[in-house]
Formats: sequence, C-alpha cells, structure tokens
Amino acid sequence: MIVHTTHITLLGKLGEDRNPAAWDEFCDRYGELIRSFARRQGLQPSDCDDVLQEVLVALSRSMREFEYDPAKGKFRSYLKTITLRAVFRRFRQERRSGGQGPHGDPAAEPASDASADERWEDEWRQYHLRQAMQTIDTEFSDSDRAAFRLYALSGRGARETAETLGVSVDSVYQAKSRIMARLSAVIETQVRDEG
Amino acid sequence: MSDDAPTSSAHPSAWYSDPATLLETLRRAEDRAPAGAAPRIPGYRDLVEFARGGQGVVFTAQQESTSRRVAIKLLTPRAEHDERARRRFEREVNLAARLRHPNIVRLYDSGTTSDGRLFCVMDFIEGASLRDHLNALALGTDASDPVPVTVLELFRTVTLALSHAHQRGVIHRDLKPSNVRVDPTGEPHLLDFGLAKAIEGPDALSGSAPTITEQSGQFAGSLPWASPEQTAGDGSEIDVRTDIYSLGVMLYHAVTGRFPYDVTGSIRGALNAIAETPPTPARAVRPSVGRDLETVILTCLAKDKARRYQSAAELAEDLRRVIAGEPIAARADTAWQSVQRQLRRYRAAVAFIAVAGLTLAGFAVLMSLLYARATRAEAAAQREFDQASSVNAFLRDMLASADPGNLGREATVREVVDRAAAQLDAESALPPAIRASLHAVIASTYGSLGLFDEALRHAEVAVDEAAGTLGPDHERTLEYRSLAVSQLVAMSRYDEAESRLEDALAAARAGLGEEHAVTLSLWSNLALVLAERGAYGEAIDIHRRVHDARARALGPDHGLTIASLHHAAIEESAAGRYDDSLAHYEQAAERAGRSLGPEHPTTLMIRSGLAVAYEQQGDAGRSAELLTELVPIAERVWGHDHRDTNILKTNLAFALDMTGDDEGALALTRNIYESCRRTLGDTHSDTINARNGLAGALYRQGELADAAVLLEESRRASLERFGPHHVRSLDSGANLAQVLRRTGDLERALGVADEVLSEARAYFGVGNPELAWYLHVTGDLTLESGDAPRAVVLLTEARELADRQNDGPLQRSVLVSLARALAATGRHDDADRVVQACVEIMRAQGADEGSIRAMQTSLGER
Repeated sequence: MIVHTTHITLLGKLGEDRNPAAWDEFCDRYGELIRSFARRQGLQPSDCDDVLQEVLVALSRSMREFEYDPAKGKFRSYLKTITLRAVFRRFRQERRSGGQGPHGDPAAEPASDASADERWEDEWRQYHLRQAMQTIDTEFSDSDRAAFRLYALSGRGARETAETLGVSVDSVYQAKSRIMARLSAVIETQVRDEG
Repeated sequence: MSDDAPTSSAHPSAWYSDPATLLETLRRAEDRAPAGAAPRIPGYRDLVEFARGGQGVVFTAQQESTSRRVAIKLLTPRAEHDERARRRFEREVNLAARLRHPNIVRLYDSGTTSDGRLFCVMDFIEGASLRDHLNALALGTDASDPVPVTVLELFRTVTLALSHAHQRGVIHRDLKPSNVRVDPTGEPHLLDFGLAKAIEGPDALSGSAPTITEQSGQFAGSLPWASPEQTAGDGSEIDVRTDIYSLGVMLYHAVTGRFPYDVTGSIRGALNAIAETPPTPARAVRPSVGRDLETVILTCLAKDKARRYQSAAELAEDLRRVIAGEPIAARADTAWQSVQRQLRRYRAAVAFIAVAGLTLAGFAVLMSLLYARATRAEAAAQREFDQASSVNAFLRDMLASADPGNLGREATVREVVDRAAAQLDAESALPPAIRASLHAVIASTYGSLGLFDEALRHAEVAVDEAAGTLGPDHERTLEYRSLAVSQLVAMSRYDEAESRLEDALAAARAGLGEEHAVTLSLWSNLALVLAERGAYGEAIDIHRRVHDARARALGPDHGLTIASLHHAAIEESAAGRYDDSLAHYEQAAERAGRSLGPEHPTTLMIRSGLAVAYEQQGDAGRSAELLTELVPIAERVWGHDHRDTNILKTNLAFALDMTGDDEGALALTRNIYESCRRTLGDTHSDTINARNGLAGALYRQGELADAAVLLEESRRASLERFGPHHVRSLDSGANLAQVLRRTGDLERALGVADEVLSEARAYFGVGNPELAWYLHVTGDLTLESGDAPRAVVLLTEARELADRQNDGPLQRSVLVSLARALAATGRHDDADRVVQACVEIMRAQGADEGSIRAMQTSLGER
C-alpha cells in the first residue's frame, strides 16, 4: 500500500519559507476538516473558506517563529484553538459589518466551548475516516467497496446487496468484515502518527 | 477544559477499534458528508450512490426523458473549483463528449448542481471494473498457464478505443483498471476521458498540465499506473505516449498480477521506481508469457517516450499480431517494412543522383511520403484499412518507378510525380475516397517541391472527390480543404485563403473538436494569414496554442509541433520580441536537429532563423558564420532557385552586410533578385523583397542611380500590393528616402521619409523598437534640411528605442547623428556626452581605437 507521510513531516515543511507544495497538501488533508467544522459552527460556506485561509496564515506565522514540537502538545488541539479563534473572529466581523448572523438565525450562534469541542472531535474522526477511506479505495475492488457501502452503510440486506451487485451473499459478508478490519487498522496507524 | 476531554483516541477501546462505534461514525459521515448526499439534478431521478473514489461519488440514475440508466459522477467539492476551473471542466468534458466509440463510455451531459458541485452524466455500464474482471478470471494464479487470448483481445479493444480518442486530440491521462468497465458480454468500456485534466489541470493552453505529484489530491489510486513523465511533474511532457505507458502497466499487471517495479513502499520510493527502475521482465514472473508479448509490454514501458509505441494504433496492430501468432513489428517483414526498404533504396538513389549533379529536391518527396505514412498510421482505423492498403500499393508502385534503374539517370523527382499524377488521372476504376487520398498525396508532394499551382489543383480534386462521397464537412474532406488552403497561403493568395479558412475552421471546430489535427492545421494557416496582415500578436498567440496542443497530442519532438514553435519564433521576431524569438528558435533548432537530423529541410530553416535571431541580438558575425555553413547544404538539398534557399541567402547577405562585407553581400543579393524574377515574376512579394535588398546593397556600394530606379519601382509595387501600413512598403520608402538624399533631392527625400515615419508609427505603434530605424532616417534628413531642433527630438526618440532594441550598429549610427544635431543647436556639452556614450558602445562591441578616433574626428570636422 501507499503510506501517507505523517503530518509531522508535513508540518516541518510548512515551516520552510514558501513551500507551496506543502501548503497544497495541507489544504488537501485538513481543508475539509476546517471548512466543515466552521460550517457546523454556523458560518456561511464563503466564510468557511476565509476561516481556512486565516488558519493557514496563523499556522504559517507560528511555524516560522518556532519549530512545532510534537512533545509539547497535540497538533490536533493546537489546530482546534486557532480554528475556533478564526471562527469567532469571523462572527465578530459579521456583526460589526451589520450582516446577518449565520443563516440569519441567532440560534445558530456558536454555542458553548464544550459543544464546539464535541464538534471538533467529531470532525476529527471524520477526517481520519476520509483519510482511511482513501487507502481502502486503493486496496479494495469496486465491487467489495460497493458491497460494503450498500450492506454496511446504507442498511440494505445482504441478499438485496448481493442481487444488486450480482455477487454471492458470502462475498458481501466477507467484503464487510475485511474492510472493517482494514479501516480499523489504518485509522490506528494514523492516530499513532498524529503526534 | 482539557482538549482531550471528549475523546479517547489513544485509549485501547478507541472509537475505531470497536466495530459498532466505527460503523456508527461511518454511517453518520455518510448521512451528512457533503459528497454523499444525493444531489438533485434536473432531468434525472432515482439517484443511488454506487461507488466512491478520490475524485468524487458515482450515482446511478434514470434519465427522465429516455428512461435510460445513467451514471452520474459528482465531484468532491474543492476550494479551487472556482469559475475558471468550472469553465475548464466544461471544456474538457465537452471535448470528451464528442467521442463516439462503442468502447468509450459516452458522456451525455455535465453541469453544476444548485450547491455548486460539478457533475457529469455518462452511460451506465453493467458489469465490473477491469480489475474485478481480471480477478474473476483468476489470472496469475498458475504461472505456467498461458495468457488467455480473451485478455489480449480485451486489451486490443481498449487500445483501439484509445486510438480513436487520440486521433481526436483527447488524451486520457489517468488510465488504470478502475477506469475500464467490462460489461457482461466481456466488452471493455473506457471511462473518464480527459477528466483528470478537467479536474486538476490548470488552463489547458498555459503549457502545463496535471501531473501525478505528492500534492495531487487523487494521486493515491493513480500512482502505480503513472508514467515517468507524470512523476517528473512536467505537464508539458504529457502526450499520447503517456497513455501508452499506463496501458503497458495495466497489461503487465493483468498478465503477471504484479507491477513492473515496486510501487508498494513510500510515495517517494514509488515515484523513483517509476522514473528509474527498469521493469522486471514479465517472463521472469510468469514464464508462460510469450517473447513477443513481453516485447510489446516492454516497448510500452520504455522510460524514454521516443522508444515506446508512438501511437495506440501501432500498439493495437502489434497486439493483433501477438493474438494471430504473427511476428510483431520489430521482427516482421510487414508491408510497411517493405515500403520502408523501398524508401531506403530510393534515398540511396537520390544520393546517387545528387553525386551525378541532378536535381536534389528528392528529399522533399521523401519527406512528404514519410508524412503521408505518418498520417495514415494515425488514421489507421479499421474502416479505413482497405483504403490505406490501396494507397500503400500505389505509393509502392510510384516508388518503384522512381528507381533510377527503371527510369534512367535523367529522371527527376518532378517527372516521377508527374507520372504518378498522370497515372492517377487515367485510373478510373478507383473508388472516389481512394482517388481523393491519392490526389492529396500528390498535392502535398508537389507542395513540398514548391510547385504550388499543381499542388493546389490536386488538392482541389481531392476536396471535390471527398466532398462528393463523404460530404463537405467530413474529417477527410476537411483535411484536404486544409491542404488546399496551405497551397494558397504558400502562393500568397491570402484573401482566397482567408475566406476558405473561415468556413473550414468553423466546420472543423464544430465537427472534429478544437484539438483535432485538422483543426490545428487550419488554425496554423489562419495564423500565417494574420501575420501576413501584420496581426503578429494574434498570430503568435495562435501558434503557441497550436504548439501546446500538438505537443500534448504528438509530443514535443514531432515535426508539426516543432513547426508551430518555429512559426511562433518567426512572428515574435517580426513583432520585435527578440528575446522570446531567440529562445524559441534555439529550442526549435535543438529539437529539430535531434529528431529530424541536421540536413533536414526543417532543421535548415530553423537554424537559418536562429542565425537571423543572432543578428537581431547584435551578433552579425555569429549569424554570418552559421549561414555560411547552411547555404551550401540548402543548395544541395533544395536546389539553387528554391524559395527556401533564397531565404537563406537573403539572410546571409544581410549578415555579411552587417559585418562589413559589402561586396559579398551585393553579389549574393543580385543572385537572389535574379532568381526570384526568373521563377516568380516581377510582382511576387519575394521579388519585391529581393529588389529592396538589392537596391540597398547598390546604395551602400555607391551605385545610386541603379538603386533609385529599383526603389521607386519597389515603393510603387509595395504600396499597390500591401498598402501603406505594411513593413515592406515602409522599408522601400525609408530606403528610397535615403537614396534620394544621396542623389541630392533633399526635399523629396524628406517628404518620403516623413510620410513613411507617420505610416510606421501607425503600423508599429508607439514605443515599438522597430520605429528607431525610421526615426533615424527622418531625423538625419531633417537635420540636413536645417531643422536641428526637430532632428534632436526625433533622434532622441530613436536613441531610446535603439537602446531598447540593443542593436549595436543602429545605436552607434543614431548616436552619431544625435551628437551632430545637438551640436547644431549649440548644446555642445550634451553632444559630448552622446559621443562618450557612443565610444562606450563601440568599445563594448570590440571596435579598435582607430575607428573610434575616426568617428570622433568625423564629428569634429562638422
């Protein structure tokens, strides 16, 4: 399989002045996490891109000032801190410029920190799943993945799945268990590398 | 609050180790994942998610109007999917949607969902991906089993489909088993043509294109199938042979169950292996693979593109031979091989004739025959097979009759072609489509001999025959229409060419696509016409675009790709963009020398242009040296009166003149003028040019009366033919003014010069360095007629522009005049400073102290 470089190496590269490749990779990897989190905090999609940009700027500044030390704290919480900060700043700007709140709905204002933490954690898991599914996509056949999707995720029966895909029920069962086992192992590696 | 509070990611019972939690998280992700929600797309219903990959999600759906089952690919939204990306996506998808082939999944529709995600709609193919299909065949489980013929048949079908796309200018760029679906009857279907570029590529015309690199979002699934040029990250290197390589990896993997090198480690390691590691021979993994099949695979997998199959059609043909048990091309004595042997024999005969002192234009015939061969190889679709072999046989006969043994030593190539043409006119039994092809071959042969009238006649017959059977807008008809236009352009019949181009180009773009070879050739001709009209910027733009498109489809070293680069360099030079021009000339000369050889006519022309570029950069010595080497080659290859030989000689004459060899320049110029008058007549634009050149040389030799007569004639002819706003009219005017001044008619000289200057300003635009020369001429005459202040203004402007042009001799000349003008207005200090600047330039150019003192003395005397 193809092993993704750990993000610590990536962070090292971000610190180097003007390493656009590293920034692109960072965006590919964490962009959706940050955007999606910002969206769930109640920002408009266009604002979410601004948040992503602000997070990148903040990261690049801090990377230039100090070498990120994985021993000093989890990257995940560091990223959360600057992302939350960017989201709040965005809200303040909206209010100052007289714009409506998120979706024009005051109830969608950012809730307590605890709730943001939960959302962040959820997004973080989704991020790991997305990464891991990329590996699954390269390692398993189309029909295995389709079986997994229809049977394990969409909640169709094994028989129905087998009929839809023209395969045996047994292979549907096998596809599910093999992909589940692999997913779990891949995410474990990712989390270990996370620092 | 602790950052770790709600999680337990490092805990033994982590969310991902418990199947129930993992599944629950996954389902939640499915429910709300932006890419997973079934979008609403007008016209389609019952969207059901079918598969998910790096690029996005695939749904199956029903097209409401037809009840047809379709697949809808919805791309993962990305930040960079801005308006530009969207347009690019539409363009690429539209290009791919024009492909109609039973083994290419048809694209129906594309667009943007209401929430801004890109999608495309294609045929839904029941069945499995190629990978699953091959797994089901349990290939590679027993290494002693022979490779099933069905697998090779399947790959051959895929290759033919690929060839269809390549001929229409569409490169896949992301071939891999998951992009081939096999239907229940075992027929393969290629999908996602051009999508890699549509999604990832920057602007298609900017020269770069998507490559497989570490930052590419979807590399993971594509990397093992990628080619060396893709891993190198240079998008401009991607062409049809890139697809050949990926197909080779697929074939290797299909028969051995492995990759040709290790791509299972780190990304960096995989990239290196693709770029550097030679493939493990397939027979080492699976001894039952035949030698021929192994050779076919290894040919696909050559790291150097030039050593791969040069087209999918060639690969398909070799796969056919492997299946039929025939020897493959590398070993076989096929029909083509025998034609090639004929060609070699013919080449030897031409060389022999050359020694005997007869015509040497034979190389041009060879060239066009080789070109015809290449065109045919490209167009070797099954339905055209019979036709191709008829043309083949005809060519063989023609070549056989060209053998000096058959015709005797007096035979010229012209006679050979004339005979072939007569033979064809007498041939009434041939079907019109074949007659059309043969007329086209003869037309291009005449064209390369410089016999454009005959070429045009045959091209028009080809157009009529093809239009009659295939219709006026058929691919072949359009190809011949393009051929006819080329002859018109070559004969300077620009108005006719332009009006025909407009129609043909519209038909080609609509019917064949923007990047089809015929469309590109028409574009190229349009650029030539535009340049002739002085619209250099637009012409350069078109040549660059055509170059990029050809580089993608044919590779950077293909003759046509080099031709576009050459054209761009020519027009850049004409537009005064000398740095661009020199860079492109050098690039083109290098490529042509490498791929065509140093004596090839194209290489000669490009090196001649390079020599001019040196001269424009102020290095006349280097220019003259190169041209002195080239002229004898040209006389040998083209003959003494050939237009291209004359162009080379003109350039040499100019360079000699610039280096001070006036006599050599005059003799050469007279020779050219007489050759042009003899072969082209008095009013041909080449003759006008030659006349101007000769007049200039006479003038510099002091033959003022002769020069004045020639220039009066030239100015009249140029104004009549090109109008006042044309560089030729301007040049003859400026020269006429100078000669008139020397004959003592100062008033008329200044009148002409002023007229020319205002025409030049209108033509070149403010600030164009080319204006320096006209300003210089007018400035000198103004000074002589006594208006020193106006002369200072004109010459100061001339100085700035000459400096920008970095044209040493012109700078010197302008500075001397300016110093005189300043002195005449009493500004002696300024004049001294100008003289000092002039001395510096002369020193920088390596002038000796004697000539510097002479310059200073000549100024002092005034």
